[in-house]
Parts: sequence; C-alpha cells; structure tokens
Amino acid sequence: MGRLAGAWRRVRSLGRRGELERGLDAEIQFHIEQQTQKNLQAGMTPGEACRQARIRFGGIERARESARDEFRLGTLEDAVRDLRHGARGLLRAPGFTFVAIVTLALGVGASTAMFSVVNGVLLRPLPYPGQDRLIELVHEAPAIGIDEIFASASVYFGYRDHSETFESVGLWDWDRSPVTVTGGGEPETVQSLEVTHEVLPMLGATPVLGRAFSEADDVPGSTPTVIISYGYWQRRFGHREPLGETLTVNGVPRLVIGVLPQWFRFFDYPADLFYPLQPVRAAAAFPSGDGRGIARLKPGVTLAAANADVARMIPILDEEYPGGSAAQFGFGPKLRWLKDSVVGSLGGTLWLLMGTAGLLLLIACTNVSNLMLVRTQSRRPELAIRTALGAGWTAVARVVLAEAALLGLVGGAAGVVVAWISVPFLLSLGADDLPQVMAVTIDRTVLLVALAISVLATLLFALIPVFHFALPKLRVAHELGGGVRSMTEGREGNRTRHGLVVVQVALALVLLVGCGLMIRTFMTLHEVDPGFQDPGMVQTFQLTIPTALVPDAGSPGDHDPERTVRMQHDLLDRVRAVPGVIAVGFSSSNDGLPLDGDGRSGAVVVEGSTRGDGAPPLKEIQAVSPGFFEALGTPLRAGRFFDWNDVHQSRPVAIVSENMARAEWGSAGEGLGKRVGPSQNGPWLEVVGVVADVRHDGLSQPPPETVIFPAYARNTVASFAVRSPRVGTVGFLEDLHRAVWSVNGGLSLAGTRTMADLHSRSMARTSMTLKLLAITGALALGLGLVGIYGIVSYAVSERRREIGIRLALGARYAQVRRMFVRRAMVLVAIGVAIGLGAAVGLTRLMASQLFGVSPMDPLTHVGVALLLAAAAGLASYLSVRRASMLDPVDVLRGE
Amino acid sequence: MAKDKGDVLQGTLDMLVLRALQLEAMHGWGITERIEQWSESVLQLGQGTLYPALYRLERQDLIESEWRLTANNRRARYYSLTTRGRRHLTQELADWRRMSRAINLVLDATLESGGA
Repeated sequence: MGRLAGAWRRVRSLGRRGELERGLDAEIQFHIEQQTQKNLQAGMTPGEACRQARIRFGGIERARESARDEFRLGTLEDAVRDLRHGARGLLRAPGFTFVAIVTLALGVGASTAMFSVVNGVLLRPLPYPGQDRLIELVHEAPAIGIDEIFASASVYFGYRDHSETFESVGLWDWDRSPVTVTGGGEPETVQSLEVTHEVLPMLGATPVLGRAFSEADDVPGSTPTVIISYGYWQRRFGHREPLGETLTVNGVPRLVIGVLPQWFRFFDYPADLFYPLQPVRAAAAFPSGDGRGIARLKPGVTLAAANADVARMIPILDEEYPGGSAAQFGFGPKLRWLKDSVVGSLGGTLWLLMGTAGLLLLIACTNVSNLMLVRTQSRRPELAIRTALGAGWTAVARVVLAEAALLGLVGGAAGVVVAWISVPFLLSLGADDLPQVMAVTIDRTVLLVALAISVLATLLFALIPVFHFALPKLRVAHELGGGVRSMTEGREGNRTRHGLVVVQVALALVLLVGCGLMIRTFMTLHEVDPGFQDPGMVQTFQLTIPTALVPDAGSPGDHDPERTVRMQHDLLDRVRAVPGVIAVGFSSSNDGLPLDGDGRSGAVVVEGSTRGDGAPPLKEIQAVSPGFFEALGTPLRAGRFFDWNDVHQSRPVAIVSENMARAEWGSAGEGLGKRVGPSQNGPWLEVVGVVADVRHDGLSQPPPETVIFPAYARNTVASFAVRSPRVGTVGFLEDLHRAVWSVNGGLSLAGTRTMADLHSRSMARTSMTLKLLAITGALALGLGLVGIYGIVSYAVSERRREIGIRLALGARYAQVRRMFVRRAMVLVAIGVAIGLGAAVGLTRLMASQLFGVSPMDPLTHVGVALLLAAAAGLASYLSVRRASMLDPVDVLRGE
Repeated sequence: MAKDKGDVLQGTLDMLVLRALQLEAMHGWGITERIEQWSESVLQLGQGTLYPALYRLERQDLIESEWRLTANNRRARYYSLTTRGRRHLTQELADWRRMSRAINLVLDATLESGGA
C-alpha cells in the first residue's frame, strides 16, 4: 500500500514541476532568512548578516541546479532520454531502420485500410437520422419455397391500420424507373422512385425547399406532384427557383413541390425524382409482393416483438383483402433491420478480408522481431558492458523498448499514410459491391484503432527480443572475452529466430491457400455457362415509352398495351436496320435480362403434372419478343421461338426452360405440345419451344425454372438486347440512338450496359475478394521470402569461421551452399507443415465465399505448399550464393 | 563494485538527514541546525547538497513533505519520514554501526600489533 502511495506521489510530482521549482525558491529564501536572523542575533549588521547567510548557504544557483537535477530525473525524463538514445541508435543503422519501418507500415497500413472499410460499411449506422429503429418489411413463404417476399399495397394499408409496434409504415417501388422527362429542352431519362408520403420523412429527408408529400398527395386523382433531388435541381434548373415548375414525367405533367437536401441518397439507388405511389386499397390483394416496404418501430420495440406483431396481423389481412390464403403459402414475417438489408451478405466477406489483413500484420511483426533480434545480438558487447556496470536486464529492456517504441511510432504513422493512399484503391475494387450510401473514410475511430494496432504490433515485436535476452542472463565474461569464441555461440538466438521464420512461413501459407481457393472459385464462376453467349457482343438498354404517346382511349392516364407493343415492334425493326446488327429483341418490363438483379415470379402450373417432388408453383416468368433469345445467344433446345403473330394476336403459347421440361416431362423434346397455365382451371397455354437454362439470378445460383410468354406490355418499360460485333465501338450507340429517335423524338435510351458488364458485375464480390486476397498474399509471400533470405544470410555471416575451416579442409563451395540451403529448407518444411494444419482449420471460415471448390480442396492446399517451398528454396539458394563468395584464407586470417 | 567517494558521502548524508527527521518533522533550515548541534558544529551541511538530497529522498519515497506555517507564521516546507524511510534508516544505521565497528577494530588492531 505504501508503495502504491509512493508511486502515486511520484506520478503526481511529474505534473507539479512548476510548483516544485517555486517551492524550492521559497525554501531557499526561508532558509537564508533564518540564517540571517541568526546572524543578526549573533551581532552582525543587517547587511553583513545577509551576506554571510548567502555565503554560508553556498552557491544558490548551484543548489537550485542540483535540486532540479534530482527532481528532473523522474521517470518521464528518463523515458525521454532513452528515446533520444534510441533515435540516435536507429539513425546509425539506416538499413535496418528503413526495412523495419517499411515492413511495419505495410502491416499496419493494410490492417487500418481494411478496418476503415469494415468500420464504414459494417460498424457505422446508415446515414439516416434515427435509423436504429428502421426495418424493412420482408416476409417468407416456405410452403411454396419462397425465401424472400417483400411488401405490397395490402401490407401497407393493413400494417398501417392494425399494427401495435410500428410508428410509421411506408411503401415504395422502382418498377417504373427510369422515366422520361420532357418539356423544356431535350427529353431526359431519369431514375425515379414512387413513394408513399411516409417514406421520405422516415429517412429524415426533409426538403430544403418547399414541402414534403402529405397524405393528400397519396390520394389517387389528386394533382400530380414530384419532389426532386438536390443534384437534379442543380443540373436541370441551375439556380432558378424550381418550386411551381412543371416537369412532364412519362407524359404526366407534375408540379415540383420540393427539393431534397444535398446529403440525401436513397440507399444506393441514384433516384432523382420522387413522386407519390398512390396505392389503391380496392385493388390490393393479399398475400402479394410487388413493392418494397419500410417501417419505423416504436421506441423500445425489439425485432422479435415486431415479427410477432406481423404474425398476429397476417390472418386479419387475409380476411380483409382478396387473394390466396396466407396459411397455404406459409406466409410469415421475416423482418430485418434496414442496415442489414443494405449490407446483405457483405459482412462475412469483409470480416474475412479483415482477418487476412491481420495475418499480414502478424507476418510483418515477426519480420521486424527477427530484425530486432539480429540487431540486439550484434550489439551484445555493448549491452554486456552495461550489464557489467550494474545495469540489470531492465537496462537492456529499456534500450530495446525505446527503439521499438520509435519504430512503432514512425511505422504506425507511415502505416496510416499507406492506409490513406490505399482506401480509394480498395473502394474502387469494391465499387460494384460495396454499398455506396455508406461513406468510408479514415475517421477518429479508424485512427484510434490504427494507434491500438501500432501499440500491439510494437509490443509483439519488441517483447520477443527482450524476453529472449532477459531470461538467460547475459553472461558477461562469455561476451567480453574476445579471442576464443565457441562454435556454439549464438545458438539460443538461433532458436528464437528459427521459430519466428517457421511462424512466418506458416502464416504465409495460410494466406496463400486462401488465395488459391479464391482463384479457383473465380475461375469456376467464370466458366459457368450463363445461358447466353459472347456477352461482349450484346448491348442492352432500357426504354420507357411515355404514356402520352400510347394512351388508352378507354382509361385516361393509362397506357394501351397493344399500341405499346406495336411501338416496341417498330423500334425493334428500326434497330434491326442499323448496320452491323445481327439480332435484336426485347423483354417487357425489366424482367428478362439475366444477371441484372431484377426478375419476376408468378404461379404457373402444368396440366396434369405428375411431378412428385412437391415443386413450388412459382416460376420465373418473362414476356419476350421474337429475337430476344437470338440476341442473347440462348440456344433453342426444342421447338421454336416466338414470332410476331404470337405477340400481336396474343396467342396462347409459351416457352419453357430446359430444366423445367426435364423435371416435368423427362426431356426437352417431350415438353412440346404440353400445356401450362396460371392455375389448374386454365386458361391453358401450349408449350411451343424449350430454351436452354439461363442463370438469371446469379452465376452461383442454380438456373430457375422459367416460363416465357409472348411480349405484352404490363407497363411501358422494356429491356432491349442487341447483338452486334460493333458493340463497344465508337458510333454504335449513336446509331442506336438515331434509330430510336426515328420512331419518336421523345424517346431515349437508359441504362446502356453490355451483357459482359452484367456478367462481370455479377462476379463483383468474388472478384473483389480475390484481388484483395491476392494482394495480401503477394505481400505475405514477399515478406516471408525476405525473412528467409535474411535468416540464411545471417547464418552464413555468423558461421564464417566454420565455412572458412570447411573450405580450407577441402569442402567445395557447392557442398557448403547445400548445407545452408538444407538447414533453411528444414525450417521451411516445418513451417509448411504447421501452415497446412492451420489452413485446414481456418479455410473452413471462408466456405461461404467459395464456389465449386471445397475449402479442404487437397489440390489447392498441396499445390500452394509446394509452390511456397520452391520459392523459399530459391530464396535461400540465392541468399547463400550471394553470401558465400568467401575466400577461406581471408576468413581464417581475419576476425 | 566500489561506490566512488561521492556516493559514499551521499549515502551518509542521506542517513544523517533521515536520522534528523526521526524524531519529528522539520524544514530544511531546521535539519541543518539540528545536525550542526548534534555534531558539535563539526558537520556543517553545505546547503548546496542539502536540498538536492531532500528532493532525492522524497523521490525515493523515503520522506514526504508538506507546507506548514512556522511558529512565526511563515510558510515553510516540512519534511517527515515515511514508513519506508523509517525502515531504510534502521537498516542503514545497523549497516553503519557494523561497518564502523569493523573499521575501528582494524585500525586499533594494527596499532596494537604494530607496537611492542
């Protein structure tokens, strides 16, 4: 207890320096006054008394100085002095210092950069105020095999009316996006979103100009309004007042009533126009899922409580709204936090990458630790002298720790710089996959973590040399006794260093195995048959026909499906006429393009189906024009494609995918002539063709069973696919534009992407993971090889006498070299063995990232091990070669 | 492992200061006076060494200090022994007595045998 008090006192005294100095002056003053008093009483004159007192005291300044020296030698000053020594020592060995700092910078930098991504995407909240209570309305229907079903008008009205846990419910949809904005200049294609009036306030998007949507705007038949984004305001209106202006959106004139704040982004979707969804209660059916819904929970409500609330409401909705029975589908709640919706399955990937960065940091630390060991070893004489003069091992520790602290500080700072440079690069790698709505920056949290990483790393690589030298006390005589140096000198040092190299090799192996597995995954994904061919030759775009161009005479405000399809046919013909186009077709709505993240499913049953596996009646459904599959390059397996008669006469025909034909009727050919329909009561459609399977939902997902109908215009949007060798060349897009404009000047193309783009974007996650792992693996390999090179060099230089003697006794250079390479390879072999063991355990963690290859894949594990061993062998051989050009005479003569 | 002369003197000075404080807390001036008194004016502490010593002892946690008012209402810093200080002093005193007895024995023995 007394010791603690004493320590506390000393710590306090550090801060009281100024006070102590003033106190000292006061004391000296007091002392001299007392002496003066005494002199006066002894009979001296005042002047004499004072003078004698001062003389008696001695040099006041000297007293002050000595006293200051005493309390200056506090721990803090000690530490500063040690650091200064350390800095001088490091500067005297620039090679070592440089390599150590660069290695540390790599390790700390990689970890910090990766952490900033993890922090920005996973740990930080969504940029919406109060986002911790926002959920997405997701449901499931396991009885018919549906994993995820979203929301609809019935859900919106129903939950709004009956919920006890929701504070607010909103519905949105992007099915009608992109829209064409006309009036005032060229027609523009703009991304849009339909929302009910609760949605924007829920996300904290209070307009900076004008007002938000109100309940009145959601009433069908009210004055059409629109709210625009800040960016759109600037682009379209400049600094003019936008409120009160009219934008003609898809032929409907809408009044601009508000402008959203600059910071607001609707998740990753770059919507510029928001207009009221106006759901119609009378037309709502339940259960269904053609829109997206979000809700805000009341304070303190848990997700479980919300799920229970929804489960309670489902039977009520079943009663209130027509449609199938929820119980029959097993329709149930599967609510999730909005954050989880945005992040998706990215969490696993990011933590995996964080882990690999951590491994790299470990390897960097072992490298620097090795360097420090070698350095401390070479300073043994100097340190031994200190020990001889009475310093305990704490003195050695202080020297090592001071240098380590400096290296850690500078290395850590350099690491932050490396991270700062790397983050934009990381973000570009993940551009297709990381949610853009989350901002990734190096903020205070990241800097704190970087500091913690540096400190940890410093402790790691500093403590090893310290303990190594502290445990067996430096034997003074042994070190200082110059001349006779035993052959076994430095053997303890070797053991630790060898251990470190083994650890390095093992860690590098684990990383490289992970890398190898990702490479194989990527290659496998790449080779998957997606169901289309030559994606680089296929250009896709979306085209929305303004309702005003194809109005329905019978119901104003709606489009006429027949007229729409005729115009789409017209467009097709014009595009077909563009030179270089081999085939062109479209799919109604945005359902038909594979790998674009969109699709539609519906109930389709087969007449007299004898399928025993309880197949879900929901199939992927599309409506396509003639030429669509030809443009994509999806082969026909049996029967025929659609022709224009099928389309314009709305003939009851259908095409099915090969997997469905095989499952239902045994083979593709058997499917022709069979009938399918929305329910067992018909109306029936005849199967006239069977196409190859298309991996619509993703390359790693099995192709869905698909039923294709002749094109019909559910809405006025269509996705076009154009096959041409001219895709990607200059001028081709202009030709397409001109072809479209020749039909009507008010039309424009949107979302122009090639199938190759869609194909590579669908592999974006794997691609990003692979690239990052490859970089980390390469760095790890580099560090590991450098470590091996270094340790062999050091071994050679340590054993110079031994080499000299052997050479003098007749050994050949090659034999000596082989000896060292053999010793090094023993270490590598041990490291590889340990690494393989660890890899078997650890690769299990990345199973979710792999496709087509098992995490235990022996080919990869063994292959990588052999590669690493070969590279290590080469490194040690090169090292020995460089170091062993010794003349035995020189060695034996010199010392 | 010989301490140099300075160290020996320093150690002795410390011991004297601790001894002076054994009875009661005192300020620097008081310590000087007391030691001078007890040593019959032989030991007159160079004040240049006293205050550094006091600060050193305080840093080593053997004494502690606090500001108080003297009898004449002057502000002065009073030092007192800590528990550790007391223990250290006892140890030092024991060592010193043993050492000086040994030295005296040697000196006296030589004189005796050197004689007759």
